[in-house]
Amino acid sequence: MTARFAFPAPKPDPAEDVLRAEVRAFLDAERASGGFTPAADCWVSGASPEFSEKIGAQGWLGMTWPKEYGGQDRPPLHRHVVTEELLAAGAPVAAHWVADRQSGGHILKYGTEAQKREVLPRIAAGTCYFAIGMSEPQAGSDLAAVATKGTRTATGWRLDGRKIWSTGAHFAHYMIVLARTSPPEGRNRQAGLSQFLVDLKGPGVQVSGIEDLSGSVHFNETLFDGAELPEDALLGEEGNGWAQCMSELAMERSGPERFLTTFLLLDETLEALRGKLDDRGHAVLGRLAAHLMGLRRMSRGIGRRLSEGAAPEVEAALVKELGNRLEKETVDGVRKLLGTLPRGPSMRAVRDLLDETVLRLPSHTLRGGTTEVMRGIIARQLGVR
Amino acid sequence: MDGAMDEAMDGAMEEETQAVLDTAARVFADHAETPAALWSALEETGLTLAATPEAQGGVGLPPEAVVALHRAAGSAASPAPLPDTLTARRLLAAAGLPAPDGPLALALGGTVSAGRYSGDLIEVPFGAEAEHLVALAETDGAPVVALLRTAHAEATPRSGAGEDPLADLVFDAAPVAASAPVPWDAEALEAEAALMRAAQIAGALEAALDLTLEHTTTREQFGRPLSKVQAIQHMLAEMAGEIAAASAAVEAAAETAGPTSPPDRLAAAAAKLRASEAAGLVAAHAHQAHGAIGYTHDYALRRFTRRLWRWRDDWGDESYWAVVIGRAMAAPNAPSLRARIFGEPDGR
Repeated sequence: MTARFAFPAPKPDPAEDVLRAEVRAFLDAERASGGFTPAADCWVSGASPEFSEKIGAQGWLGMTWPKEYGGQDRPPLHRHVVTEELLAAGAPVAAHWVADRQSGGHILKYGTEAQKREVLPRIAAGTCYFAIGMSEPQAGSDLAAVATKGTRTATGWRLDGRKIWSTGAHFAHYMIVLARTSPPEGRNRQAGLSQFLVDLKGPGVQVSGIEDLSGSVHFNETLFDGAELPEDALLGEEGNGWAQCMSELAMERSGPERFLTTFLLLDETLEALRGKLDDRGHAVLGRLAAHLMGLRRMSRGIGRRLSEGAAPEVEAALVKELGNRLEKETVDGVRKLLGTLPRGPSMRAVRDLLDETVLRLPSHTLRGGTTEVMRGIIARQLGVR
Repeated sequence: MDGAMDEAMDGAMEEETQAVLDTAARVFADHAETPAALWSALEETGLTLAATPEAQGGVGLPPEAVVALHRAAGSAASPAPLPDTLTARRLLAAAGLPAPDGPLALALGGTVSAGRYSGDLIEVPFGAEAEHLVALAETDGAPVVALLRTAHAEATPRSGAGEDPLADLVFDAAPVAASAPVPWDAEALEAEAALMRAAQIAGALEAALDLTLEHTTTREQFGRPLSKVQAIQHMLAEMAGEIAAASAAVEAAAETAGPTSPPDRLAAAAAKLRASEAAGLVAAHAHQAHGAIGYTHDYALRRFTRRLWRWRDDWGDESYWAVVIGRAMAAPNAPSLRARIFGEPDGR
């Protein structure tokens, strides 16, 4: 047996069960009192600062960070529990999602003491939001092609360039921007890049919404037009931007949202059809459920590796690739399940959810790195790239 | 027991398991295509006793290690029925019956009445080759284990897509060598055997990928190794994903089995479903990447892919288990999907 990938079984932890029951009770109560309506693609579509503050008040943001920065010193698998439950409920978590998932941890790892104190407690409180500053109009999968320029000035840095597909930039407080601060070293374009912690409300920053194909606005183009940044806007080391960015991407990809984004659709479909399915329907449902069980196991394996201080980026790429495939198959499967049934009023809610999911599905295999990029990462691990 | 002691015991167990797996890998490699010689070596090294409890003179490996051994048999395309024998011995042990020497065939069905067994058993692996067959049968509706001599059956050899022998067996009031009631019902044996095959599949998938990697990194076309072609790289990545998913499902199911109890039925169902699905994709990609050489009898790939095509249909194919899981999920009073997938702490 060749162990190319490691998805170790998480050790039993009764505290996880306690936490899960707490989160579930909270979410059920919120939903019952009209605090939120479950939504498709909730971690991108459902931005609610009120809800994020409530989650923060529960101590469920920045959970893995040290207490001195507003965290709870909890293991990554506890955060995993909260994340699973929020996604399964379709809760409106988009406001804080990026900050809690990657930006905060990234600042914890690479930031200065001042940056940590300035930002982390506010993220943990659910009041400070982040957007990702990687892609540009001419730098998508080929991220090393970024052309945004960071130039030293007498007082700090000046930023010129354009970031695109920046989800939530229209409400976020900060963006972590990957920019070129010195020329490539020969053919090595990964050299000479740096990351900046940029205040999106600062001068020289302009955020304009981009409508997705359904007409809704969740991503943006962010223009930096001679934006003056203070000296301490540099995040981490000058010239270390590429390595830092890869570390940030590993966090971005490692969570269960890469296979649970269509969980709500399957859940609602099952409830709408419970007791009404024939064995053809059972087969469709059973297959999707089996895949979900397997991916969850893998995802928790990633959680355990994170708990042990590992950086399981290849495993994360695997789960993302398989998970995105399952999300597409969930839509296909739900269409099969619903297709033979009359479209009466009792099916209206689940069909609306299906349509909403269909319109969001094309983004799943693009955001956080395309399927093709994931396969490249896996192929490299196999030693063929 | 305190945590440190727990870990020390885990460590000792892991070492023992690893030693067993290393021995198995060596024995399988030494006798890759000679079933009789392989069987002798398996008996000499004590591997055939791996799943039998210590109290009954066996090694008493924990169920997860037994599943790992099934996987090792799969990754070696073992031509001898070690997995079936180990599972049959586990079933005999659960009924308190001693096991005869030699390979054992395993089947579900038939009835025992007044010391005689009758049953129509379909597509039994090694059904005509093994001297004995262990059947989970019924007496007056209650499960019993019956130890039978295959010579007492009318056997019709079946070809099957696989490489190992297969036969339909008809027993008509045949004498029973031994029988006893057993706490396992048909669903329990199905789960146990499905996990066994899923583990074999996981092993064979890995071996098929190994061969494909070797071929694509050494075979040159258009002046470069095939593995440098992006279309090939993506096929290899897809195969790796399928294997990782199948393996994870197998491991998850293995953890639910006990020393004398079968795995959780839904976990085993998910494992067999996932592994059987992976078998189709990985075998197809492996052949596509190999080109015509992989389609020859001389080349080793068929040892794995033919078994994959057989094993995916054995003990429930992916449709069968999908329906089992779907029915359990969609029953009127069944737990919600959330409870099924993430658990039910606090009964919520």
